[in-house]
Amino acid sequence: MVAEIQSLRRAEAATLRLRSLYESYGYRKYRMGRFEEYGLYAANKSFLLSENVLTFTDLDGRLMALKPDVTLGIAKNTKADRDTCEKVYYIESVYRESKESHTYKEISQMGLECMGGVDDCVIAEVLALAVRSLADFDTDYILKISNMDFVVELIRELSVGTEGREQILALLRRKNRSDLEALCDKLGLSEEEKERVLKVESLYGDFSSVLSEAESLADTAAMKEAVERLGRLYRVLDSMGLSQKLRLDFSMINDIEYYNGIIFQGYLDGLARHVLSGGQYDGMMAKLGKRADAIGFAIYLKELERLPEKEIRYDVDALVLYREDAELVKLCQAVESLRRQGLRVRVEKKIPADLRYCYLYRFDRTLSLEEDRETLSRMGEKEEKPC
Amino acid sequence: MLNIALPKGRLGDQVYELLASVGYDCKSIYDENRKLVFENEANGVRYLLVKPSDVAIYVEHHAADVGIVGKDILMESNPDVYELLDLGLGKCRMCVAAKEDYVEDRDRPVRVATKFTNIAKEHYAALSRDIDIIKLNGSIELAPILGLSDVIVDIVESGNTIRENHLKILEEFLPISARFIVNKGSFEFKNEAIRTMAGRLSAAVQEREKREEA
Repeated sequence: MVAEIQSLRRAEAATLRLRSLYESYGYRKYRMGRFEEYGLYAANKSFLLSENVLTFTDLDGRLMALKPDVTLGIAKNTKADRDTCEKVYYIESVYRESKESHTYKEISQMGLECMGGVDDCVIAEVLALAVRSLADFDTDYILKISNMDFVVELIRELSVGTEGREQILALLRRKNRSDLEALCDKLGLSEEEKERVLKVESLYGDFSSVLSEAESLADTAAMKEAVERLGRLYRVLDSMGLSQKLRLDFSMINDIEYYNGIIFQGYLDGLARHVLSGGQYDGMMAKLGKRADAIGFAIYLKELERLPEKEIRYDVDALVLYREDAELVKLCQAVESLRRQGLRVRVEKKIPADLRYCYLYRFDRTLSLEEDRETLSRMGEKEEKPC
Repeated sequence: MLNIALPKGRLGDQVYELLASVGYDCKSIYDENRKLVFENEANGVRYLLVKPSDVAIYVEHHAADVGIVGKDILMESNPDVYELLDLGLGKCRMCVAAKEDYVEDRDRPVRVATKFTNIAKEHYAALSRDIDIIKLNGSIELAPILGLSDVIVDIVESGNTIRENHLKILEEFLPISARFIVNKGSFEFKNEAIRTMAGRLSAAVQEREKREEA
C-alpha cells in the first residue's frame, strides 16, 4: 500500500487528499453523466470557456453533448432554495477545444459548488477551501480575490453604451493601460471618469493596502458594500491563519451576465496560468430559473502535471530473474516474501531494456534468492540487501 | 532572474537598446555567435532570442516571463497574457491595399490575400462583408498584381513597397506598435521585478515621446 501511494503522480495524490479535505467540510461527492442534452450548453454559451461543444446524435434522435463543463449540469439539477445550501464536490472529465492543436481534448477537473443561500459564511468557507487546496500542492501559491460588483458598478456609472463597457472590461482584463487610455478618449469620457477607470487597473497587490485604495474610490452604496464585504471576508480568513498569500486584483472580471460578486483565481509558482478559478454565479442560476444563489471553484488538474514530479529513480524496487526450469511454487513464495517487505517486485526471465531497478535477484537451482552483488556494484549502488 | 523573449531583427535591436538604457544591459548579446540565450546575473536578466511571431507563445507558456511583440501578432494569435505597456517602437499600420485602378465589385465576395487571416476575418466581419481568404506567408503585394486576390491586408510602415508595386491604400484600420507582454503566472510570483521593469520602460518611453514632440 505504501509503495502504491508513493508512486502516485502529483495530480492523482492531490485528488485523494482534496477529497478528504472537502468531505471534512461536509461536502458530498457528485457524479455526473458523461453526456448531457446539447440544448443546455447551447443556451448558455457565454458561460462556457469556448463556444465549441463536442456533439453527437443519440439513438433516439436527441442531440447530445460530451459535457464541456460541470457547473451547468449540477446547477440544472439542483433543488436547493435560499433557506438551505447544497454542497457538493466532483472529479470529472470535461471535453473542450484545445486552441493549440485545434482538436477536442479530455481535461480532468476537480471542483466544488455551493448552491442555495450564499452569504458571507458560505463565501468565507469556499475561499478557505480554495486556499487550503492550493496550500496542499506542496509549492508556493497565491490566491487573487476581487469583488466584481465594485468594478461593474463603477463602469455602469460611466456615460457609455454597452459596447463601450465591454471594450473597457476587455482591456482591463488584459491590464492594457495604454489602449485603455486611448479608448477612454475615443469614447469621450471626462477626465475624471478616465482617471477612475485607469485607477481600477492599478488596484492590484497586498490585500489591506489595495482595499483602502478601493475604499477611497467607492462613492455609491453598492461600491462601498463591495469593499466592506472584501474586508469582512479577509478578517475571517485572517482569523483562520489563511491570509498570508491573498492578493487583491480588481482587473479580474468575469462575464458579467453570469457572474457577480466575489471572484478568485489561484496560482502556483512555476505554472504558466491559474490552476484554480472560481466565484459567485447568481446570474447563471437566475437564467436557469433557480431560486438560489451559487458559488464554487474548479481546479485544472492538467495544469498540475506541469509541475516537476519528484524524481522517479526506480520503476521497481526488485527485479527477480528466473530460469525456464525454476520450481514455480518456490519461486512464487520467494517473490511473495519480497512483496511482504513492501517492495515493488518485477519477475522476468531477462532484464528488460528500459527498466530501472534497485535490487537484482537471481532465482537459481539452490531454490533461494541470491542478490546479484556484481550487478549492484556495477550500478554504483550501496544499498543494503533487504532482510 | 527575469527571462525576456526578444524578437530577432530590427525591432529586437531597438527594444534591447531601450532595455539596456534603463539598466537591463547584457553585453554578451553583441558577441558574434549563434547563441540564443544571453544572461547577465548582475542585473537579473536572461535574454532569449526568438522568432518575432513566437514571442507571444514563449510568454504564454511560461518559457519567458516577459516579452516584446508587435500588436499585429497579438491581435492575430490572441494569446492569454497581460499587455502592460505600449513601447511606441516599430510603429506601423494594418492596411487594406489594392491595385491603383481597383474598383470593388459588391456582387461577390472580396478575395483577400494576407498573412493575418484572423485580423482580416474580424475586420470584414465587422463590416458584414463576405470574403475569401488566401493565406500567404510573404511578398503579399504580389497577389493583386497577379490577380490572385482583389486586395491585401498587411502592415505598412513607410508605404514605399505599396507605391513601388503600383498599389494604393484603401483603408488604414489598426495602428501597430511593440507591446511589453507578461505571463500571468510570472506576474504573480515575480511582480516586483516586472513592475520595476515596466515602470522604468514606461518612464523611458514617455521621455522619448516628449523629446520627439519637442
